[in-house]
Amino acid sequence: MTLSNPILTLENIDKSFNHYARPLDRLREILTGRCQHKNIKVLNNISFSLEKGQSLAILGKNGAGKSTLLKMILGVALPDRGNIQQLGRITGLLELGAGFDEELTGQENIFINGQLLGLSQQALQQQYQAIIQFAELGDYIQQTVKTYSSGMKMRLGFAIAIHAEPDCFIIDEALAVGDIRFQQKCIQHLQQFQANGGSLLLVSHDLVQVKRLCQSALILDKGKIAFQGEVKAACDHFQLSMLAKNGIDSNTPQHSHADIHLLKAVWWQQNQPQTHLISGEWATLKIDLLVENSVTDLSLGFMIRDRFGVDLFGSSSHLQQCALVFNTVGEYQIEFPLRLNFGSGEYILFLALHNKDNYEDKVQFWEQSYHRFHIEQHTSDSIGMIYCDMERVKIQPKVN
Amino acid sequence: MKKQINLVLLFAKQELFDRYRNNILGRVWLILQPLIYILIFTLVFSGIMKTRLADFNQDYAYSIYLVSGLLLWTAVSNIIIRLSSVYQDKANLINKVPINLMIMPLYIPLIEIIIYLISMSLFSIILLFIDYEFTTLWLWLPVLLIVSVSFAYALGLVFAMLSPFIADIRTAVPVLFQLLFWMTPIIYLPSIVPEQYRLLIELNPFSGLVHTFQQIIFFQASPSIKFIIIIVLLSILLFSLAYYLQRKLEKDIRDLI
Repeated sequence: MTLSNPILTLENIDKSFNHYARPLDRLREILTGRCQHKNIKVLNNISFSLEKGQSLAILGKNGAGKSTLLKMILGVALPDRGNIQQLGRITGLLELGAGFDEELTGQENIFINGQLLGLSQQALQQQYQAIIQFAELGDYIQQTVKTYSSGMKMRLGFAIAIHAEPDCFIIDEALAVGDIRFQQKCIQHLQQFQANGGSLLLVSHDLVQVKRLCQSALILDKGKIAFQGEVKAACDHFQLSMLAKNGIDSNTPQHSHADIHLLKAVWWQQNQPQTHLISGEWATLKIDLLVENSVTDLSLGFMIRDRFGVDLFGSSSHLQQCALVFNTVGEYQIEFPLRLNFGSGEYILFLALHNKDNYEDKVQFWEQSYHRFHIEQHTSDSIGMIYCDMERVKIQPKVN
Repeated sequence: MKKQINLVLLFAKQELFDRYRNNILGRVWLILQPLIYILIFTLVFSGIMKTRLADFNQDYAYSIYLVSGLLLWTAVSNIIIRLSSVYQDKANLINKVPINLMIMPLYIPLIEIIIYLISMSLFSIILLFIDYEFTTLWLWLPVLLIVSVSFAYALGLVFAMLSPFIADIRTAVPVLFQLLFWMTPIIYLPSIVPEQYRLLIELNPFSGLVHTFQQIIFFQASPSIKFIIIIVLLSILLFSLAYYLQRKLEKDIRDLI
């Protein structure tokens, strides 16, 4: 297949943010040319192009430079060096509620927001009904936007953006709009948009979604392109790199006086370490501890939380009435085998080792968000937060 | 380009009309506000300074003098003050939609011109009632308005470009213009200024601007062509400076706001 129709080309993009002691120093430097700053490089020599009708995902950890890259593609930030060529109309999703005038009604905001996205009055008149229908706000469309819930604002924002009919549509983690049904509708609409020759530039942590919507992906790591290629290979590569780096969050308090240290905790499934686990299958949480001095009457526990911090499921050695006994100093591995009956999504693992009777004494470690991991459903026969084992749906005539 | 102009019109419309939409009187406020403003100055002050302007055989002489300068001052100072923080005020949009930094703030002079025109129309109606004689000199007013607004826009743009780096500008500009208001012969005549301060007033471009309007409307005399040319040249200079600053600073402005 020969492709020679790029709608977006980036060549050797560099971007750094300079840190100045005072904002005035920045002005002084720009006008005099004398260096006054500490330089932090956010993007380093980024080049890629997006062909018309193709969709690209950008993967990367928080702080890898994804948002900065998107801002430059949208033209709201400028690179230090390099070229960005846009040959088609590129529209990004305005962030939640941005550009909405809270005092105006939803209807009026459709026109304002639409024009901000580059739609003409005429085009808006034509799309107006479709936007209102898509947003599903009912009579609320006549109300001022300040009465809307955040979910309603997002739905309206998404509905406007999705009807702006660009050549390329930039989505930055914005598919978490509304409930699952609305999300499905958005994805369907995006797939229709792609089928009509539209391109997507997608930033997401949801690898299943990435694989569904994109043909290729690139991985950003510390401002550099770490991998670029076919979407499945890129997702696998990304998982591996996440796994290697899934260290302890540095912002949780360290108990330096502790006698037992948490070395690492890793999820295993299908005989290998994973960051993206399959829903409904058995997995094992393997926790490595370093025992420097023996401590008695401890309990090792874990808690799985959703991304809002709600406790979903947890257990501990004490709850399972298993005494933690470390006879000698050295490394130990503790395994919690469990079946992950969760729905698709991102989850947080909370690990703690403390006195078996309370949470205050003998705390060896207390890692509220040790790491994040994903659970993916490989069958699409259910939705929701948890996964129940089920049999196939049965249809039979009712006999009286 | 067309898109940028549309955005300017959109912002202007939002400011002018949308803010009154929940008011019972709605857009009537757009006329009511300047009307009350003018009426206060014409009626309340008409008696006060009569003796000063005794040479002008007119009951409302002082009011005419005052309003002719005041309306222009209001427009010009509002443009500069609002421009000095325009990027911060529109930061949430500048960060999300591609916007030209030189063109986008045009909505501010546009609004001020519209408000000035409404005010001047009301003022003219009042003038009709008090038997003011309109002359062809009034044809100068649109030209002078455009010159004044351009000057204000250019100066405001320079402040706007610098304010992300020098936060004090946003605080200092409104204070500076309060001070300048009293240093400009708007509510007093230049003739009452003591000799040693005359130079201060002559060097202040705003007193010149205000004076050309007072000259046409109140003194009914031709404006100084030389002064107009100076202001035009000064505006071109300021625009070039603003353009230079934009070329140099745009990247950092966008990162900072």
